[in-house]
Amino acid sequence: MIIRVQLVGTGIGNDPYRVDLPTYSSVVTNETTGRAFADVPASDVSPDVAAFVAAYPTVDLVTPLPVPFPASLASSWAEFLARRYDLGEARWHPVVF
Amino acid sequence: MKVSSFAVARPAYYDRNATSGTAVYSGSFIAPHAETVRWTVTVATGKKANIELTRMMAYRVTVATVAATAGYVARITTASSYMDILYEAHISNVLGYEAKDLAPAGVTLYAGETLDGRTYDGSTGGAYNYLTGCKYTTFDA
Repeated sequence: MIIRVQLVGTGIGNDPYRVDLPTYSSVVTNETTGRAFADVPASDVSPDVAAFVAAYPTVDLVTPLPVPFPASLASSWAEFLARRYDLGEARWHPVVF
Repeated sequence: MKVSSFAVARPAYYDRNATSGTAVYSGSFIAPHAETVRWTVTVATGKKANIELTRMMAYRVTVATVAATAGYVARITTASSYMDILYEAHISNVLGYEAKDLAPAGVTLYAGETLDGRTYDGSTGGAYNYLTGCKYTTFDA
């Protein structure tokens, strides 16, 4: 599913622009607003995050969300990914943005 | 003839809960940009992934005011290091200039390893089309 998430990285040296997810495709970025569209496998999106994305659709990389992505959802998504990939110290902290 | 062995052949990888997937990025008239990871595949614990095809292409569609280095990278990252299996860097202001690469099949990624695809263009003005991606199969390790 297409999700607008926070862009991370500086684009300098070994810190490329990217999104903080383990698996994704088709990233389109806006470095100025710090937002990116990414195609994320449905299996990597927890149901509560999927519900939030469906409730607040985004059409561009500029317009802010009407409500901020709740910290509790950010935490639950990070835990969901950590359990799914089970790679020890590896952690992702994606934020719908 | 009496056969008394209880050994059972292990199923081939494609019969071990295999899941086929692709990670792609295609963009048209993409303005100059810093190195950007367009797609990533990460292998979860208990899985492996066969990378069956990786291809990268960049094609200049608009001339730049000042051309600079542009290209793409397909990078494997392991626990201890990384390797660029495809790497392209060129300076060209020729409309229609095309760079493209195919990586060999048969690359196996282990748990925690990643394959990603990146693009970059340091020019001032101008644009490229990009067509990049990989096809992979994950399966029980």
